[in-house]
Parts: sequence; structure tokens; C-alpha cells
Amino acid sequence: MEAELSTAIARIDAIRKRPELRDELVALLCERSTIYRGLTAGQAERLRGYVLASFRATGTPAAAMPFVVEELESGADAYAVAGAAKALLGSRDLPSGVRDLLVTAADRIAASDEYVDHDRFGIGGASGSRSAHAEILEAIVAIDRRSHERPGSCCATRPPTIGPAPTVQTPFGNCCDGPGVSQASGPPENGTSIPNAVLQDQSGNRLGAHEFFIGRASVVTFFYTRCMNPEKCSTTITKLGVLQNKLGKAAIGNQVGVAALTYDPQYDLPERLFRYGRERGMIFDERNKLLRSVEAFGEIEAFFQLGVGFGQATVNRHRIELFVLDKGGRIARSFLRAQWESDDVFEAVEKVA
Amino acid sequence: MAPDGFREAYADALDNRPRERPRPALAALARRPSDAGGAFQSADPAQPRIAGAGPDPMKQQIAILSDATRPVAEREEALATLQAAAFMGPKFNPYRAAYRSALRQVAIDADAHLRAQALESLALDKDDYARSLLLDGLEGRRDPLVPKAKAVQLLAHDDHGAALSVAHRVLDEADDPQAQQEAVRVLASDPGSGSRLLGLYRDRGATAELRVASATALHALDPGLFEPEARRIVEDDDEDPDVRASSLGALAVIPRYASTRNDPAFVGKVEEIRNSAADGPLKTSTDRYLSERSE
Repeated sequence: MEAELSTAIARIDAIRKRPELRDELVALLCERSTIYRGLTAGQAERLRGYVLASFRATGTPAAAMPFVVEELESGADAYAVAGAAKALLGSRDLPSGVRDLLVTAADRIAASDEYVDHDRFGIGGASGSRSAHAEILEAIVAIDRRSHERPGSCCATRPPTIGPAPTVQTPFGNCCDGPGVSQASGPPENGTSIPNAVLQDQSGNRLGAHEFFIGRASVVTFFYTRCMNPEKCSTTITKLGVLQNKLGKAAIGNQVGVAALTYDPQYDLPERLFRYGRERGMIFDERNKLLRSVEAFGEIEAFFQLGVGFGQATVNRHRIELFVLDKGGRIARSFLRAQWESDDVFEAVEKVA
Repeated sequence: MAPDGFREAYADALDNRPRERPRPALAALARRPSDAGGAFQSADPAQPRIAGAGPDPMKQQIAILSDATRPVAEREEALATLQAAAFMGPKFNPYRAAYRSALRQVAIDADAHLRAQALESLALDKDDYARSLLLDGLEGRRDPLVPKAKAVQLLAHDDHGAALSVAHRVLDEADDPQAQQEAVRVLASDPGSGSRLLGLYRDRGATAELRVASATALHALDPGLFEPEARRIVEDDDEDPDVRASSLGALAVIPRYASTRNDPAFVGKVEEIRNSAADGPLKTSTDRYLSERSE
């Protein structure tokens, strides 16, 4: 693992000097990249932050922007968020609302602020003379200056048009955000149904995936109870409860399944699932469940092309991801990386219910 | 004692406790406006100080902590002040980066007590640098900064498995009982360690303390594995009485195991133990179990 990490860092440092290779960096931001395999959550975040900060030198391709926005919107690691702020400065065209994202990000990481050094990769120690918070503030100042010097040039007034990430072959894995890169994309082309994996719900009942997902439209998201980022799993399940409430009042409510599957099925046993969901306002019944795969989580992971990486014992990094499935259990719409709104998900599931 | 009695006794204890030494730096921080820690304030050297505030008390405390030429007692006092200030939320945010940097510096300080305190603060924050220092010490890449048991305990604060391989090795080496107990706590977060914890819980050759620690970890990890073994141990008159007592105590107080009370054979066995056991933890556990049952 150490050797692979060193190789990856050397490659990143080389690309920093050769901007024409920057698309390789985008591939390294994917959670499934082998460079993150076996790392602790902290190491994985640090490596991602280093990759993100590299775009300051290479310029930030459009395909990197969903990752940058994601980090600013929901990242909790000060080093990584500051790296994302630097990545913004490598872009000529900035998404709308990016200044607000930076201000929110600065407030979010203020309680875990640290001195950062994105010029060379290392873990902690007495490195860097600027704090992550200061780096983010500098990005805000730079964006304000850019906007003042060239009015209208800074931030796009339209939502970003973000296409699929380039499928760049690298020694560390091939990355593509798979079906439905962002909310801006149309429905993906995916004709296969969810595999009939054996699942277990929060009450301990076993069922096949087809029993739940075939025959009705459904919403399925992913989480794990040990997630340390409150902007991700805890928020996701809480919002799922809000969505349940909305569906419960709608005509289609009794035709839609709502489920969340854990990335950590060996640890997230039914009791943990029940407690986690109940504490966040979820209701449980035959159409509303928290689920763990009893076997072959890999099938589920492959079907959804999940954006998740694993350390020694559990998840080290994951993206926000929610999928709307049609009555045949096929992916009809994906919501990836950005925080999803229950109104948008409701609208998507209405179309297939 | 009635609840009111407990309340009065607690209030009396508070009144009579030794007063804490006043900490002017904390008071100064508390008096700052609540928006003083907002997005545009920073303790970075490049950022302007708050106008008219004079020398910044928190910066002074950080400087004292970081200064290895200062007396240790002064530095410990500064650390205590900063640890308290860190709980003051946004007001302390402008200083967090400098504070963390100082803690990382002190983590390798010459003074063992200061080092341990700094490492504990960092470990509670899941600091990766602290993690790497502790692992390096356990794996022989540097002189250990804290005793083995303490290092394992601090690593266990991160339940994402950063210390798993070290925990298994500590258990294999079996030369430090306290470290072993800390190691089983690390395994409580690893689904792959259920069988090892079960084995330790069953192992009559292990100390009672290690077996009880393993039981606690097993209950946290997988109650379905813990319960049948706990029942078996309670029912076995040849088992260690302290391990039996702890096992029965868990079955008594944890609601998940309330169903054991629906088993007349098991309840009957507990009554038999109560009638035959000498006064001590095991008898107390039986009383507890049977009294919970009757409520």
C-alpha cells in the first residue's frame, strides 16, 4: 500500500508540471480509485485534497467541477476543502453560487481548522503557514476581485453543464461517474435491473432485492452508521425521512418504495439500522426500509457503480448518491455528489411511479 | 435516599469543592462578541488583530504551550486553558489551526505528561498525524511517545479501523495485559473480529479482566454472538465467578437481553446461583437480574 501511495503521489507531482495531463487527476478523485484502497479516512481525505489543490497549477477541467463543488458543499476535512477552494481558482468559468459555497465551507471547517501545505504531500506535522480557513478566504477574495475586474466573467448565471467524467485509463483505475453524472444530466441508459441480492431490513427480516424493488418505483440511497461527516449520511437519512413524509401525503405515496442500503453491512446489523433511522425520523413499514446486504455486497456495488472506497475495516470515503428506480428495478435517475432536494427526487419518482 | 436527598447532597458537594483557579484568558475569550469567530476572523499572522484588544490572550497561551524552555507547570496550565477554550465553539475558531499546530509540536515533547495530554487531545479529534506517531511507536519505527496500552487506547478513538492490525498484534504478543484490554476495545469496531472476541471471552486461560473486556466488545459488536455465550457462562458453575457476574450483569441491565427472562430454565439457574453463591459480585448480579425481572 505504501509503495502504491508513493507512486500515486509521484504521478500527481509529475502532472502538476504537465497541465496537458490534468484529466488523469480527475480520475484520481473517484472513490473507487485504487490509490485510496486500504487508507484510513483521514489519509484518503488528505490525498483527495492534494489532488484537488493540484488543479490550481494545471487548470481545472470542467469534469473536475462536480468533485470541487461536492467538497465545498459537504466536505468536512479542512485540508480537502481548502484544496477544493484552490481548485476553483484554476477554473476560468465558475458555477453559479460558488461564492456562497465558499463562505459556507469556511464556516463549516472553522472548528477543525489546521495549517495546510498543498505544495508537497505529507501527513500533519509542523507543515504550512496558512490555515485552511485562510486559504478559503483567499479564494473568496480572488473571486470577488475577478468579478470586479471583469464584471460578468466570474460566475456563470446558468447551471453548469457538466458532462460525464472522461474515462481516462490510469494505473490506479479507470474512473467515470457512471450513470447520470449529475442532476443536470438526463436519465442514464441502463437497461438492467437491480440484482436479486439477499437483503435484511432494520427489523431483521430477510428479503430478496426483487421483492422490494421490482413491481413499484423506488428511491434508494446509500449510507453507513459510522459516517463521521454530518453533512453526508446523517443528513441523507434525515432528508429521506422528509421525503417519506412528502410521499406519504401524495397520491403516489403507497406506490413508491423508499430504502437506504448500508455500505457497511457487516457492522450495520439490524439493531443499528433501526436506531439510526428512528433517531433521524424515518418510518419503517413494508415500503420503507433501511437495508443491509446479507451477502455479495459487490453485486450491489457494481450495479450502482457506487462511489465508495474502503479502508482496513470500513468506508474511508463516499459520495452522496441517490437513485430512482423504475418498476422494473432499473435506474431511471441518479443524484450524485451534490446535496439532493426532496422536491427534485419527488418529481423524478413521480415520472416512473 | 430519596431523589431530593441526592440533589441536596450533590449541591452541597458543589458548594464545598475547591474553586478552580481563575483563567483570565478564558474570561477574555468569553467576553468577545459572539460573531468574533465568524468567517472573516482568523488568527493567521497575515490577518489583522481585533482592533484595541491588546496582546491576544489565546495567542499568548498557545505561545506558552509551544515554548519548550518554559516550566512544564506553566505549559500544562496553558494547555488546560486552551482545552477549555476549545469548547467555546466559534469564539475559539480563529485559534484552532495554531492550537492544533501547537498540539502536534507538543506531541513529541520531551515531557512525557505533556506529550500524553497533547496526543489525547489530537486523538479525540481523530488527527492523522497523532495516529501516525502512535502507530510508529507501536510498530518500532520510533521511540514510543506513550506506553503501549495508552497508545492503543488513543488509537481506538477512531472506530474506522486505523488500529486493527496493531490491536491483533498486541493480542498475539500477550506481554502487556493492560494493552491487551485496550486492544479488544479496538476490535469492537471490526466485524471481522467477532470470532476472535468470542474466543477470548471463552478462554479460561485468559485473565478475568481480559475476558470481561472481550465480552463488552463482543456485546457492542454483535449482541447475537454475545448472548448465547453469556448464558452458557452464567450457567456453568465451573466458570470464573467474576466473568459470570459480569455476564449476568449485562443480561440483567441491557434491554436487548430481556428475553432471557422468558426462559424458566435460565431463570431457575440464576435463582439457584443466588441461593448457593457466597456474598460478592456474582450474588449481587443474581439479585440484580432477579429484581429487574420482578419489576
